[in-house]
Amino acid sequence: MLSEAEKYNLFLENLPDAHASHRVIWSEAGNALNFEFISVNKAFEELIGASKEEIIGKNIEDVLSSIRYLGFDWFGLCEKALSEKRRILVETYSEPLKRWYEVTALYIEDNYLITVLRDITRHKRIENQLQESQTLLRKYIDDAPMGIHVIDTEGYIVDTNPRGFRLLGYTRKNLIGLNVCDIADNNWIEYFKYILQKLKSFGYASTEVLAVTSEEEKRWFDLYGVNLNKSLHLIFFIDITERKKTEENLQKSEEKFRTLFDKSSNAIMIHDKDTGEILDANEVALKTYGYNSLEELKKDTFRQESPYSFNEALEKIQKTYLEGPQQFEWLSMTKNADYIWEEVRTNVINIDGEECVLGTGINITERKQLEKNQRHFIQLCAHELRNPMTGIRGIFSLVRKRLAKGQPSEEATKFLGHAEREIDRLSNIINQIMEVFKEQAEQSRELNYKWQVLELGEILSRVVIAAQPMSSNHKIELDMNVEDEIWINGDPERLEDVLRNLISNAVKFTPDGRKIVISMQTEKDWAVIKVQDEGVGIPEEHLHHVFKSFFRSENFIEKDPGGMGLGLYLSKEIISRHGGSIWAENNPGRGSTFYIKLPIYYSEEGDWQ
Amino acid sequence: MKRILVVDDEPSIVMIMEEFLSEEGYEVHTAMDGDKALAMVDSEIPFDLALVDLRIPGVSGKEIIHKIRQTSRLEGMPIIVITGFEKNSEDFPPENSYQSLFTKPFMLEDILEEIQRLSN
Repeated sequence: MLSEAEKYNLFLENLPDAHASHRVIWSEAGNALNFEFISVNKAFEELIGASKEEIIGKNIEDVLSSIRYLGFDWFGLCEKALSEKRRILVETYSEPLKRWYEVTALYIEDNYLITVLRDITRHKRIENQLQESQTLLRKYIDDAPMGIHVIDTEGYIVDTNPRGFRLLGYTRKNLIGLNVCDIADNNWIEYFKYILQKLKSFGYASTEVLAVTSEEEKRWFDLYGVNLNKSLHLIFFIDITERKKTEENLQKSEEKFRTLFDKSSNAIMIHDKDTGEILDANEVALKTYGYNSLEELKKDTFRQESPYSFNEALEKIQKTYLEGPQQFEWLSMTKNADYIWEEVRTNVINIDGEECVLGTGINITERKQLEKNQRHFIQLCAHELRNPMTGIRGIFSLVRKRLAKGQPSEEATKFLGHAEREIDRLSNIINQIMEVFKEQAEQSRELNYKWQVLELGEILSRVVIAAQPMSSNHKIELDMNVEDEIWINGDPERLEDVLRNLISNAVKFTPDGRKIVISMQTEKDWAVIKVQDEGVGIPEEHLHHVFKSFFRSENFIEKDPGGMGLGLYLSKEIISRHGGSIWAENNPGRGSTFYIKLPIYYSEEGDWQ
Repeated sequence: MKRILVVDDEPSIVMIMEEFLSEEGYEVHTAMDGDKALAMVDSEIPFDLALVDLRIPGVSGKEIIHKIRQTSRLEGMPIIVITGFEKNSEDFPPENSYQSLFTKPFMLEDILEEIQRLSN
């Protein structure tokens, strides 16, 4: 059986730490002169590379040269432990062994010390790595492109990185100690509190926030928060102000496009570039094509494009995509199967990253109709010119024949008189046609109309007085009936032309000895002029046609063979230009009445001029 | 004596045609509107040829030609269309319903030549 002392010695002998005990050798003056090795264990022998026999009984100073260098001041360490009467600890690195040791000099009593060397290489390595990674982490945090703040659970900023305080316009010193709620935009403080709460409860938060810098500038941030430990959170701030601005601008430009799209006076549709399918259409488009909703129009894509085939429409769409903007005239059919002519312009646009084809349609149905009317008018002109020319040619043939036969020249002279009249007619027709052309050209360009505020009664009187000689030739009484002054805005010369035309027509168609009544009165906001004759009247079926170009009722031809049927047409054009209307009615008794209705002019005070 | 029907609303043309064709020995009947022309077609007069203007008041020249072609009494009677308009499908009768077409202003001599050719 081993004694307790023996067991302990055995334990020491097998301890993995190197272990040595020393006796202190004192000088006469009471200074420690040296430390003698009393015992060492197996680990010690291995560490210093010498056996027990080689070192026991020897002083530390004496063996230092023959044992392995361990990189620390052994003597100094022991001396210090002795003088301070306590345990002294140093860490040392052995270059030959490439290992770290923790060396402890243990004071037991004034004559006795123990040295323990523990291999701490592994621990040291971990520690170094940790330190290294901590330095690295700090560097990362300091260099991070995002703001990083450490906050406590109350939201107070404990630490921050350079990017973090600079983004907010602070110094590190100024920012630390503030609460995150202090950097929130006024409207966002409550939300910041909520995020803190969320961090506390869930240990995680991710959101967008609006913060204010020290210079009161609002900036947007992406905020990520995580728990660092029980009492600290880490929050990352990524500046997204620019992105937000871009998004806002994009939204604004989208809104702008939407407004243009919605408020445009033209029909606009957006098509899929591949299928031609209608993706969107504005109000005008829906209204033009007679649909109540976009969905309804979408369902009808194929029908809408007729009477051209859908393929033709698709071809235009694809051509736009491949070759760029197109412009063409297109006949569309509405839901109610009415046709409308449109001038279509197409272009490629990008909507939400998708290339689409945008088509704008300007309704040109009226213009087309006008063009058609003009063509028709020209045809009519040609027709009207050909008739007298045919007559003149015919007369030439007759005269030539008579001359060839040697017949008396009186007959030829008679025919030449006919020809002369036909030529007069021809030039009359040409003059009137020119009048119409001039009127149309001026209307379209709004030229040459001399607008002025005028008193209608005055003009009417002037025309009636001028017509007196003609009417008295036929013993026709011109009865003028004018209530008050009526002021209108108009071109006096043109209105005179119209009135002169009406009155002279009335005179032509009224038998001698009868009466024509000309009156002017107001009806609400309108001035109404009536020219009432006691003539033959107008056949009911012709009442609406008399204002058409080259229209001549049989009565007209009889009474006014030189007439062209352009006078009333021209009158209607002029009155329309004045914002008024002109029409004819047959009287219950005999004759007919022509009416002219013109808007009364009010001065700015709301009174008549 | 050959009988010719002249339908035109232009008084001077009617007058000149009448004068010219009468001198050439034709019996000329005239109608200056559609109703009068229809009455002529319905009458017992055995016309040998008709000159028809397409644009006349009342019933159109196209309708008058249609009426003539339905009238068995006038079967095979040559028709000459005279018009101041360019040829168009709307106002014009079918091509096989008339023999020739003259556009105003035509030469009376040309018309006469055509009348002689058609009525022989």
